[in-house]
Amino acid sequence: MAALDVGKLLVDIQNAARPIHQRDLKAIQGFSETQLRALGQFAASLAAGIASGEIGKDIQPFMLQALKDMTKHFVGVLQGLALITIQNLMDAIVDVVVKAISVASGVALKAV
Amino acid sequence: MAGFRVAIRFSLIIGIAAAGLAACRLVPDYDDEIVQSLNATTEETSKFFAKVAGGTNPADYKKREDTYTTLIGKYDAIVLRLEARAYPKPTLPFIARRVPVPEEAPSIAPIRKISETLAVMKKLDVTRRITPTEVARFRGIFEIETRNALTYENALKRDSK
Repeated sequence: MAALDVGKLLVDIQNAARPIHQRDLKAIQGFSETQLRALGQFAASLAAGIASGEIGKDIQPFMLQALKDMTKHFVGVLQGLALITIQNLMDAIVDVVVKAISVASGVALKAV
Repeated sequence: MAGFRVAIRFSLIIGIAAAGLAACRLVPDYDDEIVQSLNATTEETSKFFAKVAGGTNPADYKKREDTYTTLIGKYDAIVLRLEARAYPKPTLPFIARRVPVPEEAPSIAPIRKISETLAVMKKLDVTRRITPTEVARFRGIFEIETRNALTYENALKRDSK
């Protein structure tokens, strides 16, 4: 059985994690910008519609509640995307570690 | 010999930690059928909003009644499928404490909201004219919530092996 090269293992983990981190961060940033702009436009149009009387009093409470709900859902999705990134990082790190142990032990192992 | 023992011990610790991490799932699996259904229903809903962009009149509500019913039914069916999908309730490896993940997939609430929005619009359509500005705001809710749901569901794809 060969000893596990800890220095190499750490470099391999960093190399596996970096592209996932960069890719997911970019995607989250893009989604976040698009949704914030859309929510801002929705709020502005809603205010204008209410002021001009083009949005009836009977649906104003629904529209205002929808704005709150959409914002809450947006934050929930951001949290969900962060968890997906953590999951992707965990999977990538486990793959690297299992591979390193396989090489060191000479036993072919597979991540669950 | 001592160095060899340390290396073995270290490998075992890393191996056990890796096994614990591998067993801990934080997100549900990607479901291509759900995403396909959501894409198809999104397309139908977009077409519907394009048709009523100029506003509606209760006089011809009957022409739209079936479309409302069909779309609401499709969104409710997608919600049911998302709720039925296995959702992880992970615990931290070796500690057994719950990982604070949301109670349900964050794509479910946005789709429920789209269904609710169409139901409100349907009810309004029977009783009075819906102005183009009101239609545009209903459409805004549909678009924002669709992006919320689809972004999450599509992100799961990268994670699935």
